[in-house]
Amino acid sequence: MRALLICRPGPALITFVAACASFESPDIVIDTRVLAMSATVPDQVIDIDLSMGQPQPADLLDQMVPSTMCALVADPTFDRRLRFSMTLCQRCDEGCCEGGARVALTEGFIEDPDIAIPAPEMCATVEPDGNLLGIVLQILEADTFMGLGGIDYGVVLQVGGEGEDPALDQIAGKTLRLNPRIPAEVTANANPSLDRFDAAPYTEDSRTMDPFPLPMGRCVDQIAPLELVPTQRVRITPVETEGTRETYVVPTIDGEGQTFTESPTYQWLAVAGSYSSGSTGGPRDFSGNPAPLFSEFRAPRAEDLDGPTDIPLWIIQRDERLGATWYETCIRVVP
Amino acid sequence: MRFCVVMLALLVATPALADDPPAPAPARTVTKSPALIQAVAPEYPPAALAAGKTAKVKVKIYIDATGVVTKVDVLEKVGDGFDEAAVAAAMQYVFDPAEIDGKPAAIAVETAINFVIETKQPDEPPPRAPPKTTTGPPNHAGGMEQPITLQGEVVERGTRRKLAGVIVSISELGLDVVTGEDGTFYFHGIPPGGYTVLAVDPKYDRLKRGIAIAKREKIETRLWMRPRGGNPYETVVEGEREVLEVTKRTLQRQQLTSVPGTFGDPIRVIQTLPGIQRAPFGLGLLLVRGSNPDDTGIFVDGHEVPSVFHFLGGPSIFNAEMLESIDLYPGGFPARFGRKHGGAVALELRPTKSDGIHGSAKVDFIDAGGYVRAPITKHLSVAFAGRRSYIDAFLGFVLPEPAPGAQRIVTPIYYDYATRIDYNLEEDGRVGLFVIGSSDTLRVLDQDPDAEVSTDLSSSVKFFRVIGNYTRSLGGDMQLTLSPAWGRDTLSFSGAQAEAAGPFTSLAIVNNTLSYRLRAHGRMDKRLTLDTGIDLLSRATRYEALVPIDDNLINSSGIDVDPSKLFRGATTLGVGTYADVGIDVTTKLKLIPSLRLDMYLIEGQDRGSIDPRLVGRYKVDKEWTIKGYVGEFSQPPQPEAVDTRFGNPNVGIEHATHFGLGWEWKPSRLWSLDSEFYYARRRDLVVFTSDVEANDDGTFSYLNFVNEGRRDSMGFEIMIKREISERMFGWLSYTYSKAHQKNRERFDRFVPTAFDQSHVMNAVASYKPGKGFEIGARFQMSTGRPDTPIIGATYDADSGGYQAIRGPTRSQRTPTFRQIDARVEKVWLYNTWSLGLYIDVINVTNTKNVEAFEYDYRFKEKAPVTSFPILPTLGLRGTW
Repeated sequence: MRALLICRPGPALITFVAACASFESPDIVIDTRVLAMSATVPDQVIDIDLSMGQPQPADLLDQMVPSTMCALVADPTFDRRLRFSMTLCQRCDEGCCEGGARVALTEGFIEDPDIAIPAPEMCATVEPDGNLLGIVLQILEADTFMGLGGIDYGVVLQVGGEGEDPALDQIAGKTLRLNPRIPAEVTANANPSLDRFDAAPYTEDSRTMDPFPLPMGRCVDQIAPLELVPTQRVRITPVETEGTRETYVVPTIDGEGQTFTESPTYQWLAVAGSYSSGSTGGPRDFSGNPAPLFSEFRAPRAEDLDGPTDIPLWIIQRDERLGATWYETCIRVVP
Repeated sequence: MRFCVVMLALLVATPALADDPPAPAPARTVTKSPALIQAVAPEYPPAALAAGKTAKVKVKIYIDATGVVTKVDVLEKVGDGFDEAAVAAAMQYVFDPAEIDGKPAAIAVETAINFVIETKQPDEPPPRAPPKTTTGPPNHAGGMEQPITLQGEVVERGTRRKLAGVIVSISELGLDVVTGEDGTFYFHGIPPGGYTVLAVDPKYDRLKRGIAIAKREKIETRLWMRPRGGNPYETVVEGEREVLEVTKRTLQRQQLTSVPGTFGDPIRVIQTLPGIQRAPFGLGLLLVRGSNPDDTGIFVDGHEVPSVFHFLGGPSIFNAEMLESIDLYPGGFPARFGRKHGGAVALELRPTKSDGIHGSAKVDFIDAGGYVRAPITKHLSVAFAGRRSYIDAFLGFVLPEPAPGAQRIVTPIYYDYATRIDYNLEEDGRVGLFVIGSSDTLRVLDQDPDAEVSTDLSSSVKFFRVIGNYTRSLGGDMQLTLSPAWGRDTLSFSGAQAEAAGPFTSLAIVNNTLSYRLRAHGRMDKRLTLDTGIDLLSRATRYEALVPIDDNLINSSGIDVDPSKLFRGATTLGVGTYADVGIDVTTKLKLIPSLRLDMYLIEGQDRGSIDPRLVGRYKVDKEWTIKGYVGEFSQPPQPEAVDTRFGNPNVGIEHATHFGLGWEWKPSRLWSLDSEFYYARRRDLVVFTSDVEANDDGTFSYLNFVNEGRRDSMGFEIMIKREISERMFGWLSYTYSKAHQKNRERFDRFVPTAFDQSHVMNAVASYKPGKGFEIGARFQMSTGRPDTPIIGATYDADSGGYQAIRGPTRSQRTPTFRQIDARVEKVWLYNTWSLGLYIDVINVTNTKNVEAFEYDYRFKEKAPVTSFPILPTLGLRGTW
């Protein structure tokens, strides 16, 4: 088990109070873990004419479209099948809100997500039906903004090893949003996308090589992944698809709207080694620095390896409007 | 026979412990015998002298721990007036006291006084002693019609403070004087010869000095008195003051700087008193009886000031030398302290004196500072104090290393200054001006070309106050005080990329405060004491910001909002009038009804409060007093809470009701016990809410703040205190309390407050064993703070992080806090100055006290966040 020493200055810096704890790195995946969830339609917009009074349920259903929710799950420790289920409900910290309506979307098993060929899919589709409408209306009833800011519902995933105690299952959730077209410029979101990742390994004298496109795909799917020597660093930079940073309008409490541009974030994960930063991208910081997109992966030490080792890497791209896309790649570390 | 001489033979035989009969155990050893340093010749009984009779009178002399004779017993009576003459003489002896087990102690000695008649031929005329009785002032002795032949002044070693009330005697002549206010003494007509001058004061080591006076010579001398225990720091002796409050805990100047674990910080010492919850991480928060820190007012000569601490948990901005005393009122405080419903801390400033140039300086690891006061004229005097930190010099050693290729410059600097000028108008009163200011700045310049980011961050907090003060007598015991004050507090922050033309984000808050107090107080007649006055407060707060503003958005999570300029302002005008009336209903019962009326104009809206209070004190006997109170207290909302855009201009006044019942026991001058049960019910508290209200046009408005908070606390406090004496002081304080709160949004039921601690105990002791040493220790113990357990976590795929599943709110506590701090100081006394070297060690046992917990990214593992490790501070301070 790899660990990371985290030291944070306490609130009274002058007193040198510090909290130092040795915790697992959040960037390194060591056991069964949900890494990402993505919906083909992360949010949708419906037209409401408030001058005609409250919208009729049938009108709402007519405008809603199905959305398929898929999950990326890693299970690097075991070679086994995974049991999972997905539930449609209002989300709370514990998963589905207690006492709220819920609808089972799917349950079943998938083959080992790390080595099965082809890659298994863990998906379910949220259909625009009476079940969804019932949940949406229940949430709307409790919403102080009466739906102006959108109605958030969610899909909760429960996953565990086949035959394992369900009490040890991982619980994850992803929100879906139903927005009224208020103001009229409000548009639905599309999941973010990339053209490629550029890789620039560091040389022994700590200079980066010229970047080149990083081969993508799981380790089991790649014939010639990028090779590094132990502790060698590589800078990986996402190259976004033109237009992936959408311009969008957010309703304001006075019934108007404000326009913003998306600022995607990147979450960096691997089963070994380390990253210079586990999360990049996002809004500018308070000094006005545009958030860097890249992260540097450092290969594990030779003594931590048992010969040439393929290390799976995952990068999750998200926007602030519930959009998410994931990418898998592999780095071979050769001592 | 020319004259008769009385021969004394002081045969110190078998000194016995004065506690008669001696305790059987444990055995106590006389480590130093008493030494006679002043003997008085007995009167030879005239009849016996005429008859040529001699005698030997055996007596037992009882000497107390200060060397004074308390009793004389004749062991074998001989008659003829010899017994009475011997007793009369022995009662006037003065001894250097005996020591038992190394400490001054009472003792009894047996001796014999021989009455013999010697015949002596006169060689030369003996010097004629001046008459022993004079009609002059107490600091003059001898024949007043004769010229002064010996004059001098008595001063304290180390501080050169003139000492009044010291007895100076010439033992050979039986003359003594008591020094005047300016420490001077005068002897008239002392014949030529060699003499021993003795100076005696209970708070100082006895001083004996030989002098020789020649014919027609006049001698001037200065007697340097060494404080007992070798500590030159001034001790304040308070007279009885009129009591118009039920519970007030006073700290005197010496206690302000020598309590271990407080960094010599006068305000932090308050945290050791009952009713105060322990602040986490050694921060200077004042958590009084379950209230928020903002609910307790800090008043400097009656004027409220904001937080008085330097940033990042640093020391308070007040130099202890500028303070006369600090009073803590944990509840039921007098009506003259208004606009707060938690507690009150009153800092009384110390007027300067025209008593010479005095000062002090201190240097330690964190900062260096000094204080000087000097007379300008007989009636005009000034004082200055200042301090500057140099933590910037070593902060780099404790901060994490920047990444390779990166550069980081961190410059935290704080300083403070204070000036006071006083003019004594004598019968027309006293006028003074006090100026205090502080500055805390922090600049962080971080450049990491590899990470393609740079940061230039600047922040500063500045505090400034000018307080004027005019005090005069209104006749009788009544006093009038007029005090205007003006202050400006600023807070600024800016963030930019390195070498940027201007900030990307910034914030500046400027708060201008003008206040005025008029107070008349004192005893009006035998049964009536009055404290009444008016206080005005005008506050204008201005905000300028360049920040991402998202208050109009319904959901702003993750949105990159452009900064925009923002200008806001808030004004508050408060007018208050109050009266505390002390009525001595009987010689034992005192009732103090009070009333405070406050009117406010806040953001153009008027608000008001009427706060009646009643305090009762019943003196059961000389030692016991029972006390109780009930009263209403009110507090206006903070300026930001009434802002028309970010606050709610409709929020009203917060209210509280305080109840208390307790007793005081004062069995001696040095020891006291103070205990109290209390209950405080705070209601209509202004709390933040994210609720919105729907407008008629279909739009929404955020409420931001509402008067829906409740915070109740109840408990029991006790304090056993040993007042300052020349060798020691200390106290033991214990508080049992329960404080809980609720508000509509966060807690729909009562939960413990964030700082609730059921048991809080502080034991403070300081002792001067002698040779200039002072040792002190402080023990703190408190129940851990409330904490909400985390019982699991789920993964939030929208953010990429885990969401904690929390158990019942604040249903568990961090472990009990225990800490011992110690302090040792050695003072070297020189005539004109003193030098002290001290080491203050926080957490001497290096106990790992848990202040909070931190969790791993998925809340599976937790680790404690601990408070101070062992932390020694070495410092030097000089006083002159």
